[in-house]
Amino acid sequence: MIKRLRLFIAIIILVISISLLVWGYLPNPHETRIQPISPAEMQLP
Amino acid sequence: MIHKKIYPRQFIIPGSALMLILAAVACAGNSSAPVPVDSGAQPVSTQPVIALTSQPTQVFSSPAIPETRRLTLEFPSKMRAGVEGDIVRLTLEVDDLGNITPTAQIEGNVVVGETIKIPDLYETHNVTAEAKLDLAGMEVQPAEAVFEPLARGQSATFYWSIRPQDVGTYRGTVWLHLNFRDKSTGEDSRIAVSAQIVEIEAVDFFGLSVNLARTSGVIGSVIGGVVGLPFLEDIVKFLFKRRRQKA
Repeated sequence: MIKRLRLFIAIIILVISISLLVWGYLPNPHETRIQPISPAEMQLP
Repeated sequence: MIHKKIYPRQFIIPGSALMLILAAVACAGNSSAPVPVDSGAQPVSTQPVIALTSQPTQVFSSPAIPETRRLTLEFPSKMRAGVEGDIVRLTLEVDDLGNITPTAQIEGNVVVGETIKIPDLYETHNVTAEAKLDLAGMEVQPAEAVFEPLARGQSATFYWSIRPQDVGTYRGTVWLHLNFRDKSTGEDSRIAVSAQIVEIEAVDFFGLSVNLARTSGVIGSVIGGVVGLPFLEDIVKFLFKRRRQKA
């Protein structure tokens, strides 16, 4: 019984720890916007 | 005196012939009307042919940069609050697919629009791109405007390092201006090219900062491994036993 409880606790600790590590080191999601600029928009005022 | 009897039947044949002649004359008088053409023949228009390909006309405009460019903004839409930092990148590059002369094609006839003759700004002015990131409440490096000279066919790239201290949504603007200095007179002028609004969400892990989460993750993995180590032998035995049963 104690053996099973110990195994259960070990699995819980490992799952939580790995979740924390994944969240802590996962790269941030990036957004990219592309805007074409015509020569008319780069004219002298 | 001979009396010849007149029968109405005698007038049928000459009457029919007269009717046919009148009908033929009437049709001949209306010969200018369109005649249906045999289906195999191509219809020929009697209208004068209009030249569909026109020569481009030239219109002179104020000096401009003779390149179509592409502005690319890359930023993190979501990031971890605390000591974690990230990069915002703004690139002004030459668009190779840019087509300055407007050209339309209608049923095989190319119609060229007016060619806009734009004096080359690079020949008369020194061009500098100026970029700035305004992001209230967040640590931005560099906080001031960044300048980069712009040459023909070359791109300009700007980088900012951002770091949110607290959890929340941060809104700001990425500005891009072009500065022109006349090579002969030294006169300065400036135009705004782009102002893009960015929104960055800073998050944490159920109240834990990124450093605390990483440290807890490492410590927890060690503890979990130590606690679960005595069962490693049992787990390996169980897996082998299952594999043998399948075989």
